[in-house]
Amino acid sequence: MQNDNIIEFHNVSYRYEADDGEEKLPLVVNNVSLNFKKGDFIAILGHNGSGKSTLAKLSNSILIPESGKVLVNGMDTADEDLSYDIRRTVGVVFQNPDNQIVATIVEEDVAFGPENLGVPPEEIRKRVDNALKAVGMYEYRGHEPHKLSGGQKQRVAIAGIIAMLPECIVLDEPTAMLDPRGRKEVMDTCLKLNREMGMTVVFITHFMEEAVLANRVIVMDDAKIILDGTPKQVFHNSELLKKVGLDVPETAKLANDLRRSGAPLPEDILSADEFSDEILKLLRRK
Amino acid sequence: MPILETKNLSYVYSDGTPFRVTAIDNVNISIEKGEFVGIIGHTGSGKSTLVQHLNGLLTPTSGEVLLDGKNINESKVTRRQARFKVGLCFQYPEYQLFESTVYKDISFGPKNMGLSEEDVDSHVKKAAEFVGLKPDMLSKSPFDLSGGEKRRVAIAGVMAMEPEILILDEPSAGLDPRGRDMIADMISSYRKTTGSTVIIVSHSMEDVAKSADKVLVMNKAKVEMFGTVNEVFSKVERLAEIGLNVPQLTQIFLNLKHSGIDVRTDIYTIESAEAELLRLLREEGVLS
Amino acid sequence: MIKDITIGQFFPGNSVIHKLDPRIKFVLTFVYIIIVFLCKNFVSLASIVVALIAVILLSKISPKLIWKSVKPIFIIIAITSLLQIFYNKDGTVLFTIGKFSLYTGGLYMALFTTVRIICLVIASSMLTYTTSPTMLTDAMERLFSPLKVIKINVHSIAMMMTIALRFIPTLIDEVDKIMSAQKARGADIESGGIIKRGKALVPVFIPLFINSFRRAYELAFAMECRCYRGGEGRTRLKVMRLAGRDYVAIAVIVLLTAGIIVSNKLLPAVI
Repeated sequence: MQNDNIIEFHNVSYRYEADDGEEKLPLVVNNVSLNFKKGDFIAILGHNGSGKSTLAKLSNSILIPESGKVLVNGMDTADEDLSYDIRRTVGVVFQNPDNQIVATIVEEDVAFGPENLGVPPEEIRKRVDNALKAVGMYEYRGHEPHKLSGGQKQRVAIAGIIAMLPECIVLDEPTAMLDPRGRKEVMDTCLKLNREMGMTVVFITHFMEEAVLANRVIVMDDAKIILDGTPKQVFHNSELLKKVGLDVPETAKLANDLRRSGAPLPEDILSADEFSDEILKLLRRK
Repeated sequence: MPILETKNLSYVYSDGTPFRVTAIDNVNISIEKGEFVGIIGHTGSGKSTLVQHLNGLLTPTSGEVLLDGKNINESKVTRRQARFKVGLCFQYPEYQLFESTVYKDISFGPKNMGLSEEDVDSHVKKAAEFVGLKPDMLSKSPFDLSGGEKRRVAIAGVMAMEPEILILDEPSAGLDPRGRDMIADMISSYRKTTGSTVIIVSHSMEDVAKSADKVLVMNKAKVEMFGTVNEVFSKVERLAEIGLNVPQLTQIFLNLKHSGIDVRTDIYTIESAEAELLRLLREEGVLS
Repeated sequence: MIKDITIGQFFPGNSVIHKLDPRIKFVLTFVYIIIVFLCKNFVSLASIVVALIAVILLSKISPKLIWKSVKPIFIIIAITSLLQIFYNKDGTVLFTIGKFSLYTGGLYMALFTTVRIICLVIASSMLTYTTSPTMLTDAMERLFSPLKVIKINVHSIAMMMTIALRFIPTLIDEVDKIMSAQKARGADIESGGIIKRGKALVPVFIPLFINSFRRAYELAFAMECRCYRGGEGRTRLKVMRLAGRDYVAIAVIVLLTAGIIVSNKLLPAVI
């Protein structure tokens, strides 16, 4: 059976356990069904507490659904014997880069994954070099991680995952703690992994500007998926997005407002450059 | 007289070692009472080092910080007074919470000021109101709160000292859009009610353009620009050169201007952008 | 202030000493420390000093750093030397001032102790200066792996050490940050007696502990995501294989040890 989905969520629900174990906490993921197609760049949006980060942990058997099923390349994440194979297929990068770097030297940290997989030393060396080159951190291979900038640390963390040669990389708000420069570095790296290396990327964020660059955007609110489509389709729903505590890019908002006042602007404007070009077109047409 | 002024302020880390770094270099700024100043610049441009001088946490290598015209580094006593007059809230302040209840944590600052018990109480309650904490939350443990709530408690802890100047280092870092709006509202309500001077360090050009009166741009330890929002954002080329962007909305109008269209470029809000574009489209006859 | 500590730091380099197999370096340092205490005459004392200087020169580590590593122990050296000079009454009297007489025994003992302590500190600093902490823990893991037989999980201990080393600088930064933040709220950390200062540190240590637990929790997740399942079946990026230089190093230390033992037999002991 040929399957072009890397991850499938079938009616997945999940809730965290309360500290006292008595009362039940509300579901953070409520009956979600979802497929991630191989080779896609998927952005998942949602405000804090919408359940989007839980999706990341469900996708490589760090968490097991309360009900429903998550399949990675057809492997059930609930099967403990498969967790090792699942994690080498789907790698996860977390928010705080400081808390996912294990070793005291950049290249030794990147080697951590392949070492755990029992890869032979010569092959580890190749993978580490390639991974560091892919994220643009090769010159820093001998550095100490704590002396790097946030964006650089996060790129080292990404290299640590891709050195395991996964098919899919899931990033759980990798840019939330970074400055604009670091955010751009991480975003550019992810785009490169997707476009040049064909890796499936699932990018969880609450920055709209980042979601714009994906080819599919999924919006979560209150444990459920409320929007799913191309960026242009999704950002067209500016009212709904605002209602769930997200912002459409200001340019999209402005275009919506002007359309309401009768300006014949196309519905899919997202960047400032696109916007000024459209205005110029209108002026020239006259 | 400006409420806060720096004169030839410089600070060097690890002076006298091979690791010597000039963090801020000859900074001269003056801030009037009641002003809202946004500080922007890259990580490592000296923003954080600068604000830590304004309340006496760091002692300058050379130069002076004048608060109400008086050098705050004159003695230990003046430096300590400066901490209370100039409230500084660090980045990710929720990681500094330590007390068993929200109330106690917020009261840490006022207590250190040596206020009477009633005064501490009124300060805490006022601060809790500014950040929108309901009274029943004051008795909770701060560690049981959500991330956004913790952030508000931590900011309240600084506001409770009722500083004349409130400085916040990236108060909305890591928050979602709803959280960011909430923080912006809190700050403006604090400013309106108390009339205090506010200084914000931010990475978001949009936020700075919308709320601040003046913008200070730091680049490589030096003051690159210091002026009104319009003055600073009109220098797009220079901002781009040092790797900073103007707000997206402003960029649209700068593009139009560049293509020879006669438009205003001091546009920072959706409302003014819409008004200006409607004016343009009507004048050009695209819209009736 | 906390940031100025150099002991245990690593200074990357490309020298022969840097390139020596960390296991060999570890064992050789250990042997060196033992033979330092075997020296009983000036010839052997001079030879261990010369050997150490040779290692320093080969490593290309700046003398400033060496100086930094011994600076903190000068008080200890001064006290032990003075004790020797005042109370050791072996040998002959060199001179007498009032009630105090200086004996050759005291002088020699002071000299030997000083040289021994300095050599000991510099030798162990050289080990950490020229070996990355991960290499060092790796070496220990491999050297002590026979302990598996008596059910000691050497791998886990080594892993814990690596993680501790990795997080020390992060936690130092964090302490600095929390201290500044509490000072900004008027906490008075620098003044007062021990009890007052201890109390003043509560607002620093509670957040530090809580944050460390959060970090540990997140790190555990991240390690699981990278397929960590303990030492079983792990390979390593850096294979440790002895090279020519390692055999040379072994030969040097064997000769040095033999030389010192022989000289102890041939020459009279001065202490």
